[in-house]
Amino acid sequence: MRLLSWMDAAPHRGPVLNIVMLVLLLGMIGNTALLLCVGAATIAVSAIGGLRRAMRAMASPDRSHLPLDRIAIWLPGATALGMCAVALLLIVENPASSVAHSLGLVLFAFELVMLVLPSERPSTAGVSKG
Amino acid sequence: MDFPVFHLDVLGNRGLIAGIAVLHVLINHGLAVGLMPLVACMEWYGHRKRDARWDALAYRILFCAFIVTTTAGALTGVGIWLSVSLVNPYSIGSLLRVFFWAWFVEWLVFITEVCLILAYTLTWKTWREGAAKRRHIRLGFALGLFSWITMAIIVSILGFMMDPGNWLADNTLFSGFTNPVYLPQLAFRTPLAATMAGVIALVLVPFFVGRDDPFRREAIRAVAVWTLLFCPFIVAGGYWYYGAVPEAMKDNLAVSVLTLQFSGWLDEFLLLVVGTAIAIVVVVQVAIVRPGLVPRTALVLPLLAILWLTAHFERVREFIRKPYVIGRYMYANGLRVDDYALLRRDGLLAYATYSNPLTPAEQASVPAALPPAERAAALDRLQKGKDVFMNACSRCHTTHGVNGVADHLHRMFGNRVWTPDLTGDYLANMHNAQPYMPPFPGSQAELGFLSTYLEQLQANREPVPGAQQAGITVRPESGSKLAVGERR
Ligand code: HEC
Repeated sequence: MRLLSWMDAAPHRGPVLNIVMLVLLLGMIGNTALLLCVGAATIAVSAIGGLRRAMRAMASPDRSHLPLDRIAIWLPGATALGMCAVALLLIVENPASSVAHSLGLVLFAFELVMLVLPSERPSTAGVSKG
Repeated sequence: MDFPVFHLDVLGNRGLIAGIAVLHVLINHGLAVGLMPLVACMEWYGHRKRDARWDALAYRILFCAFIVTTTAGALTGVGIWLSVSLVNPYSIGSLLRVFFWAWFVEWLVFITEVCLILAYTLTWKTWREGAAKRRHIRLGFALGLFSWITMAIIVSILGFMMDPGNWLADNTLFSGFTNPVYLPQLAFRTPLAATMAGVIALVLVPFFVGRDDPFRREAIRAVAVWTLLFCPFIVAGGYWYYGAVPEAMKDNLAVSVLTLQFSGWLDEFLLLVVGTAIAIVVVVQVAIVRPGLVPRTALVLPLLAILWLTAHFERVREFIRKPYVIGRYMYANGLRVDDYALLRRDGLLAYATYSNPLTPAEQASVPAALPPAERAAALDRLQKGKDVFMNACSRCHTTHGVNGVADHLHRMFGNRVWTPDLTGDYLANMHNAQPYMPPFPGSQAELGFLSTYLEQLQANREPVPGAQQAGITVRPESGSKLAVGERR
């Protein structure tokens, strides 16, 4: 019950928990091919979600046309996707027990979280925390 | 060999140059080349948004950079060339001959850069409104451009030292300047400088904007975006650069990042490098998505990480060039590849003008009980051995300090007496055993003198002062032989 109310407190907590469990599971299976498939699929799904959010942000009426603000819409998602790929590479290229492999798993989970976390709006940053 | 040999017997000459050069690169890339455009962008952004907070922040960051670049930055910049010309005047001589006009232009560009940074900083408070402000912003971008050009010229010289390319055949400034490593290295260093500047600004922002000021989050987020923007270009540039490094040099990579003893750890080291790079990206990512969440100390982490990475990168770049100081043209001992045949025939000492007198500890290694004539002959051999060592080995080795030969010999031969018979064979083939060492440059007799000198290092642990402390004597035989084309 405590867990449920904790998850309800912020909308992203559910997805974050899901991701962590998914990656833990993937790590335990130890099957590289499966890992690669699921990993790539997860990246694709998150990418589509991120793309939609970015498009919506670009179309929002109060957006600024300054380059920094546009870059700020696209860059975090693009980086997270790129880093997801790096993480998968680390996972696939290294034997299951190695440090690099574990580093890849942690990084993969982290980058997926980055993909699903909605970006904090700087103008209202003081109001809505976390 | 027309210059006395400057030598630091504990730190090593390489240590001196590396220390100054790494410091300079960090200041130049981080605080000048990368930071000036960032500051100009901040000023411009604030101007467009009519938000004076950006202006105030940009000015404060600029002021820090101004103080450091015009003092430590300028000093270490001159310091590099001073230390390099002390340690290896021959390589600087060659570079000056090839890049004379490039250096001349560099001087003009540098003076312009200094004037621009003075003007940019000093007019900030007066050129505030309308057209004056726009002019001031343009000044900032011009400053960024000139900082970049100073780097772009010097990078060509660094590339040339790695691989002179077609210059070896046609000896023109143009082909030297456009050496194969030039553009890849520039493509790598440019985004590296921008990222480094972002990382430095991330550390500075919390000093100038209070914790409770909502602007702090906005500024951190913006600077983090700048930082992240250039990261992919570092990777792309780095990949291109790595491809341009001559194959033979890549074989040195393992020894270069660590030392001989640890060269088996290359994989672990590379993992550490990858992990460090990832750590930088991760912190910056969080700084974008949740700028309020990153504590100040976490912002220092990317700075330390990038300093560590850059310092290692420079060290490796300097090292893998070995055995050359200028690729395929001049060895790190300052001797030209083409002169080797001559030196082997006539002996190295035939062309050495100066001698580094024996220290009392070295003289003591020759038994005092010997008949005077025999003792004098032994001392003479030792003196010659020392001069060979100073000319052929001391630019890379100390005796007992950093990369000391005595330590190497001890590792190889242990406590056996290091007689010339034992060490001579190795020395004759040292360039085959360790490809980052040049071949022995002198005659067969000189190899014997050198071995004699090395032998006494086993018992004598006294440091060997360079010409700057011990002074010099002019070799009596000097001047008997002149290199081809040389006249007195
Ligand atoms: C271009 C610079 C350079 C020059 C010149 C040079 N060395 Fe070296 N030498 C090195 C480096 C670098 C190492 C490996 C250091 C390490 O372990 O990291 C080395 C290693 C050695 C070793 C140990 C090799 C082994 O197989 O373990 C000996 C012995 C040695 N040097 C002797 C000499 C002598 C004698 C001379 C002068 C004739 C000389 N070197 C000139 C750079 C140089």
